[in-house]
Amino acid sequence: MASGLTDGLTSSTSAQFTVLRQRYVAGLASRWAEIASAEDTQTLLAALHRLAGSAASFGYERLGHCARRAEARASEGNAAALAAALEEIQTEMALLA
Amino acid sequence: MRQLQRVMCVEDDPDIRMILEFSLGTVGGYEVCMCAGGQLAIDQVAAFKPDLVLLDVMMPGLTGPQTLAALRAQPEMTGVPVVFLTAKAMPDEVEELLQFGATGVIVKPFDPVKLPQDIRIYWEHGGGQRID
Repeated sequence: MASGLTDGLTSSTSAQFTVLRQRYVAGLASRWAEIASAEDTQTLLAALHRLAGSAASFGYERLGHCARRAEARASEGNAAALAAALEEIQTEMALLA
Repeated sequence: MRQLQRVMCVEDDPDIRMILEFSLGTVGGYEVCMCAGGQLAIDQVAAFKPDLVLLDVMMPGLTGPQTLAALRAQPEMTGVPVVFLTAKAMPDEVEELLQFGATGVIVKPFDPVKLPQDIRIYWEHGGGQRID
């Protein structure tokens, strides 16, 4: 969805979408804080689920995929794989910031 | 035939509410009533009189299915399609949601440019389908 997402929109609408994307990126630090501070699997899964369900709608498909992967690893209870998946999210967020 | 004009959205995530407002209001041109939770939707449905309701499944407090049941008890909701919005997209999960009486299911993440047309399809042709 990312680059072609705004095809066909007027320049004004496309500009509004750009602003929304910037707002979303500005909120990623608090989303990461939710993930990093989760004290139990259920809270972690909920935070990852929200990230996975929103990122690609703003055109950030890779971040969404990383979140989906981490959600799956957290469900499986595989601590090492989960740690790697969370690191991917952090890396992806740093690239967007 | 009545037109699809008024869409009520029930969603707890502020980012998703932001993109829904853009998608349905700015891109789609619908009149949007945005509710941050199920109880707010129940409180506002009589005044807003939606043509269609887009309802998140996993919410704190009242869940999507619980909200749907309460909305259906209100006379303003007679014949109004309700479409679930969910990030859980396994076929059995979608089937379970449809059995709660939803017209359809839209899977998150959604394309905000395409979403206005997707809900119009549900409005025009009825439901029972999943739209990715």
